[in-house]
Amino acid sequence: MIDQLVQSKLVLLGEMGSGKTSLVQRFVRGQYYENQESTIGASFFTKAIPEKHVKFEIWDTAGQERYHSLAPMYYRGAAAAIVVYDVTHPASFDRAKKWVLELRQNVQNPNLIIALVGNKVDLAEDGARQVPEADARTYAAETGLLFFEASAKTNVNVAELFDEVADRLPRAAAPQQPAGGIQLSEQPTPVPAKSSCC
Amino acid sequence: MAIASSRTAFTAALLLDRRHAANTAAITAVAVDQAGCRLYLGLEDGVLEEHAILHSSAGVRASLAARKHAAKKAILSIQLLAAHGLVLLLSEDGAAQLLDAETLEGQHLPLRHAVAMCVAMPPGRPPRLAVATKPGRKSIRFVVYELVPPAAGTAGGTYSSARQLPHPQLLAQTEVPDASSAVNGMAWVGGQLAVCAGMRYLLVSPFGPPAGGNGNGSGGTAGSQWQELLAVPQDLAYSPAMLAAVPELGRAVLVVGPAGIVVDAAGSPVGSTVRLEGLGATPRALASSGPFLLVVSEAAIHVFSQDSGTEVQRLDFAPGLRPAPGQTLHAAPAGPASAAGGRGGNGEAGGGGRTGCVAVAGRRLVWLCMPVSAADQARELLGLREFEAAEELIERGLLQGAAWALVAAAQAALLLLHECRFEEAVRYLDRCPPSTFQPRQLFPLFPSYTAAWTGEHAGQHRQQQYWGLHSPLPSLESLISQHLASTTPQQQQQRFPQQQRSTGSRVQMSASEASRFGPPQGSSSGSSGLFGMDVDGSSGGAGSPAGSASPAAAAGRAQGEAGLQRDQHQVEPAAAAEQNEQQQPGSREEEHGGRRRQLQRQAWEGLVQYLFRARMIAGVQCLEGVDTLLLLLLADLGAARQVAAFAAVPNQVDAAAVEPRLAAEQWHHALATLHAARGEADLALRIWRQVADGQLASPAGPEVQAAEQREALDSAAALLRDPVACPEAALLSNLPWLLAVSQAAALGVLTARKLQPAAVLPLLPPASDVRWRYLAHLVAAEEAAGVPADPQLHTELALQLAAAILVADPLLRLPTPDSSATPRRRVTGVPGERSGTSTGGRPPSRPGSSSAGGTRPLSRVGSRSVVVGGGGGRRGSRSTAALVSGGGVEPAAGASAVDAMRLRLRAHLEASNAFDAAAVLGSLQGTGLHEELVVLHAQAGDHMSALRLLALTLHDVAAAEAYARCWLVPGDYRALLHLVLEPGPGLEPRWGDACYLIASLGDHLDPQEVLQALPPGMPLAAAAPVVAPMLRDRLHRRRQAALVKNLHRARLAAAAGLRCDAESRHVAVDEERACPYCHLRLGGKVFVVLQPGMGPAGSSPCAGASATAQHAPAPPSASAAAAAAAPVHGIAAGTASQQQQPPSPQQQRQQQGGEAEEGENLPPPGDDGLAVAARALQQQLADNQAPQVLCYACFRRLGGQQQPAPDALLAPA
Ligand SMILES: Nc1nc2c(ncn2[C@@H]2O[C@H](COP(=O)(O)OP(=O)(O)OP(=O)(O)O)[C@@H](O)[C@H]2O)c(=O)[nH]1
Ligand SMILES: [Mg+2]
Repeated sequence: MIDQLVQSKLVLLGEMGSGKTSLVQRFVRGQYYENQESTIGASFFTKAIPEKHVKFEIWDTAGQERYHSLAPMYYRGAAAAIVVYDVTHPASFDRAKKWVLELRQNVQNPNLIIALVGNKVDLAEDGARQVPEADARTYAAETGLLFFEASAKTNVNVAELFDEVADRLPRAAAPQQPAGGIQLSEQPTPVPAKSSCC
Repeated sequence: MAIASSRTAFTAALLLDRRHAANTAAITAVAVDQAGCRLYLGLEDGVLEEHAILHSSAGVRASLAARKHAAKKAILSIQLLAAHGLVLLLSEDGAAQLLDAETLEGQHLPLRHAVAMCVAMPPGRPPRLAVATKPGRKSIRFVVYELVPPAAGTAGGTYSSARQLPHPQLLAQTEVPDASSAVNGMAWVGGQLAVCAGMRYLLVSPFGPPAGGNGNGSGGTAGSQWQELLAVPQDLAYSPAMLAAVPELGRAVLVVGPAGIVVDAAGSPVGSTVRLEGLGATPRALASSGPFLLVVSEAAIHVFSQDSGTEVQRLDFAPGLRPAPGQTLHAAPAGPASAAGGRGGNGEAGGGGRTGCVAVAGRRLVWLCMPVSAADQARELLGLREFEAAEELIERGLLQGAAWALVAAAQAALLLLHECRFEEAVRYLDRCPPSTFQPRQLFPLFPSYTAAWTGEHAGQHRQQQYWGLHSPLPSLESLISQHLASTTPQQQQQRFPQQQRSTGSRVQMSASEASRFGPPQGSSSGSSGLFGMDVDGSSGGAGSPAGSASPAAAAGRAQGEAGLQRDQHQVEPAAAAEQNEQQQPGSREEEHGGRRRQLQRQAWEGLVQYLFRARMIAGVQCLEGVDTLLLLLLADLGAARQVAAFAAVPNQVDAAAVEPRLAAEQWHHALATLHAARGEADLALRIWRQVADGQLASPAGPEVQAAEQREALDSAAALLRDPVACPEAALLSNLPWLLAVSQAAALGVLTARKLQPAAVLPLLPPASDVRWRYLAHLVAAEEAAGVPADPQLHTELALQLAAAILVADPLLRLPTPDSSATPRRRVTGVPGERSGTSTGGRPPSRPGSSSAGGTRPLSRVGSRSVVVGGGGGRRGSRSTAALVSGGGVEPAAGASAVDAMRLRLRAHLEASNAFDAAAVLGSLQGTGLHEELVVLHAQAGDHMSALRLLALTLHDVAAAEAYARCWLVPGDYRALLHLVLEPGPGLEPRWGDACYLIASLGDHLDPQEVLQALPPGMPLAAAAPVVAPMLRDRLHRRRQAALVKNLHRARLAAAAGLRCDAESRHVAVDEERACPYCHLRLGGKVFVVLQPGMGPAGSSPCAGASATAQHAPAPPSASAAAAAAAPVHGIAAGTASQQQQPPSPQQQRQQQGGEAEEGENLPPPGDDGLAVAARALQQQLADNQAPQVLCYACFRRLGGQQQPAPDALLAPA
């Protein structure tokens, strides 16, 4: 059973403070910290879902803009990406759209699964919601994304999110090896001089 | 240098202080060898210094060993290949040199503008040197050499004096466009080079693209590839870009601002980021060593764990020695270890590889960071009671199978025991094999339980001091007391947050007071627990479903409270003394009591778990003591169920030691189980008997007591069943008791074992269920074993079974069932089911009976017809027992007990031929067991008696009919008819039954007899119901017979016609016959026979094929040609003798049908295919048509060329 687990690389992206680390902590360890430290670089977690024969290798990236240039290293070769925004924070939704765009442009895996997650829905009840669910849902539908509204704090839709991603993974597909060709957006790769041999 | 963190992964020592040295040139490069014995310094004036590092008890010291002016400008990098005796230098003037480590003499590499270099030692290959050069502003060139050892190399270096240097062989080179000013670092990552150029990180593959093929410089020259891993963004550029190799894992750590990103050879990130943000200062240099990453900042040397990415130790620079801000610092890991290289310094095999020394240098100061062995670290951490940090190390050690780790685990366990952290202690103990830790080392915790065993091994386990960090284990009670005394309420709260009952008062227990909590003196209190208390009551019965434990546990609790009172009593004087000082002694006592109970419970639970597991492991000493302790601890936990379960498995518990305790707890069941497991069946049985009889009852509710009794009975029966544990004598002596308590259990025992029937049978009450069942068991066993039947046994079984039936249903004692007024009819066969001649022969309906699905008085078997179906089963093919039972001898689902027994008896009477028929007959006669008597009579061949019983006593004429079919020859069926017509004196003839018999056995019976039997004076109206159906039946039979006869006749005619047809097709061909067309003799030629209606061309293959049938014998000479031509359609050669045309399938079917089915399936005469054929034949004969015979040549000529119509062909004839 265990040895049939398919390893799948999953990356979390999204504006800082949107709750990426909180979501992963909730999923992997069942914990939630009110004052979760901002991620530096990236954190690495693994979590198996034996019923689905999946072992996730989760890269929780830092949302701070200064770490943006590190992101390609982490989403390269990913089988799935979870793009997180904060439902109380419209700017984070805009940032999420940019992430989706960047993923679409730079990841050549046509089967890349992208899930859009509006986190902190627990705050929506207090009237703090700024991103209407319908807007996000429409956007997700148009762009072909999975969509969830979740809360790491109250553990809403967290397991469902990862389960759904696991379900969408291509069955028995070998873990996605980095398959060439990420294009670093900042600096286009200089093409080396044409070979002059022969 | 101060140590900031508790963990000591490294110790750092100031190795060199050049602040006051004669040569004031600043240090620009540093290197240390793997063994930590040689230090090389490169200075800004191009001087290379070699220092010997002297390790002594006073510390480490460096002394200058050699000095050489090696370069014109500052030395930027020193690489050591100690195993090859090589030192590699890179100087600011862009020169790279290869020096002999002995002489420091060497040669320049043939290149210029070198800016960085690094070496790797690929396994099984010569060392590999990579040099980065910066020939222009716009690019970096990477050159890779292999340093082939001189023996293998050809032309050695011309400089070599004493010893030849290896020859650098160019392996690859590649150029990467890059405009950055400097190469800050370079490291081998597997077969690639991780390069830090300016604020960019590159991954260069000098040997072509890596297998993964993720390079993005496609189309590069000569297979060289490179890719940019990442560029440090402006926001993070506050700390310089730098990298460190982790050669053992083929990884590199890249510094990006506050993050140290570990990448593998594919350039993919691995694991979590090393979090450098907490340094509090800018990182200046990096070096990896084993599982650690050392980061040198201006404030300190920070030791990070690469696994967790967190800082584990901080080695602060002493204030006076702190480097100036912004100053360049150097860190060099011990030179690469070769495969054959020895252990580096006091390095230990770490997670990522060997943990070696790291040299750290400022401008004029050099420190040496020396790894502390994991064992030492663990020892230190354990000494500081830093269990969490130690655990990580110990776990790693255990994973690697390091011997020290076992010692550490045992040591940690003992320390944790002293801290009353029982759960964690047990976790460690579980990791220790008996060779490291013996369970009996825990005996001192329970002196009164283990007194018998502590003496014999005392000497041995005093030796187990491990690292000597713990004091000898006191008794658990004093351990807890000490712990309670030493911890303040605040501490307790921290550790046991769930127990926040603190009153804020400080615990100040004096040593003398604590000692009073000592263990109870002596083992006189064997009947109560060591602590004499059950905790929380939550264990009550320990989940015992039978509830047997609950009373005992309650009792244990009661005793426990007494014990607690005793304890309190002991403490009282001290407590009273305290009262003067303490305001609230009561609350303190209460709190202590709660804590104490909690700790005790944790200890018991943890240790019980441990002992359970440990006792299974081979090599455990003093198992008797361990098992006894385990059982007593379970008793302390009030876990009656587990005690019983443990008692039942093979164990070495000292029964004598635990008996008083179990008896006092009233855990009779557990005690008996223990005795049973020890082979003392008598003792065990005695206890169980007493419990089952209610003599030994625990003080509990009646429900629980009943459950206990049941359990005792079950256990006793289980023991009695076991031939090994319980000898036959013991069984026999207990059998009467068991029979009295539960006959079912007794039967279970008797049937499970092989016993002497002679000894057992006298003990079984006569006419009892158990008696006949036992006999049945014996008979079955006899059969299974293939032993010749014992007549006595069989007779006895029949008699006992009959007796038991009569006991069970006293009504059966009467000869006639009182239902005799209503005739009994069981299900009769549905008439339609019966085939053959009796179509629709319904038995005449009779008052009080229903023909189908009616009452089934004798058996509940309703699904099968009792009447033998079909045209007469063969004699003996059906059992009489099944017959009278209504079809089977297995009791159906809802059968009553008496029915089941009767079925059983019938089955026995039928199956067995060993019993004494006379005796059985005697016992059955005069009872209501008529069916059984039928079986008996049938077996004895007394069919008349059987029939009389069936037809007259049971009024079951259908059964009687079936019986007759089964046992009588048809000629004797009359006897049955006579029986119903003349039942005997005082009984009326049974007209209805007679009609039924005439209808069903009509072929063999004469209705005349019935008519004659009708009394002469019978009015017609009364006789009509008898006579009319009979007449109808006869009439029907007659008509049917006539029909059959005529059908047969028609068939005969058809067969005759067919014969004619066949004969008319018959042609005789002899040599004299001539072809009617060419008039030549046929002779030996191939010829063709054409049946009437067929053209010579054989216009259809089917028609032709049907013509192959007849030919006269032809001379053998014709055969070859004929055989060759035969496959041609319509052609036959006359070799075969005259044949009868085989009957058509339809014909065959009809013939068979006629024979087998007596015309039932006959087609209506008008539709007969045969008749059609016959008509056609007659027509032909009338037309005088006969088959034609012509030679094959004419046939071809006529048919082949002109294809004449059959009519035209026939015309010439
Ligand atoms: N109310 C609420 N707060 C949340 C939820 N998830 C996260 N938070 C809070 O949001 C803050 C940021 O959460 P993080 O998980 O650190 O966010 P992040 O996306 O990982 O941030 P970076 O690592 O900086 O990119 C923390 O204080 C969390 O406690 C949520 O579902 N509901
Ligand atoms: Mg985070």
